[in-house]
Amino acid sequence: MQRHFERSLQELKDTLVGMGSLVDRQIDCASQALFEGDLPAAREVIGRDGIVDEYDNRVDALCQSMLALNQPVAGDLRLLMAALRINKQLERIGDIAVNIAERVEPLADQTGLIRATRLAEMLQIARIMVTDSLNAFLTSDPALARRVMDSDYVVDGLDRHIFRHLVKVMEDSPALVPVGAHMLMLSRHVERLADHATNIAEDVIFQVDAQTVRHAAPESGGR
Amino acid sequence: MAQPFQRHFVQELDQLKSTIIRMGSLAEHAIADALTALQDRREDLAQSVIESDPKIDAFEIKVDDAVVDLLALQQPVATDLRFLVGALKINTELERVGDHAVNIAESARAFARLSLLPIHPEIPRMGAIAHTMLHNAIDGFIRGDALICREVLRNDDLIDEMNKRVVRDLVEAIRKDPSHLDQSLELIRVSRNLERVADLSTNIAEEVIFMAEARVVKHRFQDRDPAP
Repeated sequence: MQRHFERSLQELKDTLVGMGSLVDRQIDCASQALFEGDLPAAREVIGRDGIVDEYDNRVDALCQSMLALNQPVAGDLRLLMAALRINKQLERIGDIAVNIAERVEPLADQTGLIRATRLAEMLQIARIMVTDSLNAFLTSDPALARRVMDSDYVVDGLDRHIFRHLVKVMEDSPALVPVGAHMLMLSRHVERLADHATNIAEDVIFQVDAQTVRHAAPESGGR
Repeated sequence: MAQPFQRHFVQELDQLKSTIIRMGSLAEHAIADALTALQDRREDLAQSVIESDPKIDAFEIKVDDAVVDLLALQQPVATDLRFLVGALKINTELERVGDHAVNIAESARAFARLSLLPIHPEIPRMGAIAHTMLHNAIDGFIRGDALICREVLRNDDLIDEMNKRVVRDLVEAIRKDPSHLDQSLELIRVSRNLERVADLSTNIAEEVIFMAEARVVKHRFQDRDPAP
């Protein structure tokens, strides 16, 4: 029974790794499409979202069956609950890649304006945060999770900077307001990417804290 | 003389404001209900908070679309432009408040199913302060009131302190009596979520202050223009 659980746990982790690398690729492709005004590439990102959703269903199903078959307690139960929450975050990260891809068309001839903001920098940091947060979960690494959380402040600062910059652009040339509106939404999409990564990182820290507390006072019946 | 075009814009702006007010009140209620569910150990109320969240998400999409339409079609300038950009930011923050209400409700549900551990007395107090901060931030945004928003900013440090104290106390309680580990972890989660709600309220308040200060600076320039 326990060995079966360990095997399922490995399968769960592998599935999350597969899902994580897919959403990472989605973000990468969506940003490249954006900076190059590449519409076919953007459509590919949108088309691939179905695969992210399949991963989402698979993780959910795996967790549900492990909960039902093994009735885990304490640490294992908390791990499964965390996996469910992380799954939700990854699915939303996939949605954001689609949101970014959807802005490629209205901004296709504005790549110059996009490059004039610090959006590329912000996207790069957010993307690293996503992979780091997932790795922090898979390896139970609270130090890495803390770095993810620290990066969130950087991203928030960049978002604010981009917003202020765009407001100024729009104030100076009202003709750019419609384009600016799409850019504002873009900046927010990226900021939200970072936010989801931060949610994952928080969960990791929470898990590790819980373990630390548990070790300080071993719970009866615990592993 | 008001052009039909401008009048239309004013109406749309008013409509946007009332949509944000409705969304804000949903978010406020979600937080309040989640806390009540925790205190009264009411799984049904926790469940209804969780099930109501899609309503807030739907509002977010509605506000986003309205703002982008107004920006694209009306190409507003100055104060209106800043208000609309502010509305985009506040919209995001309110949607996230909804997510935190769901988190608190999930903890409340788990907590209700576990044993009868008393709730740390600081948590209801934190909840009340975070709720007031949220209310004042939304109110400050709608009325362009920077003063009330400064008060929101001042309370943020207080919430941070309370959160630290709650986490420290609960960790200590677990050390002494590990039999309530899971319940205590849920309470820590609630405390952290309330701290985030305070953060989001602070973000809204900062945006209002930024908008108000931009206006003040502009007025000063205008005041200086005519020679005394």
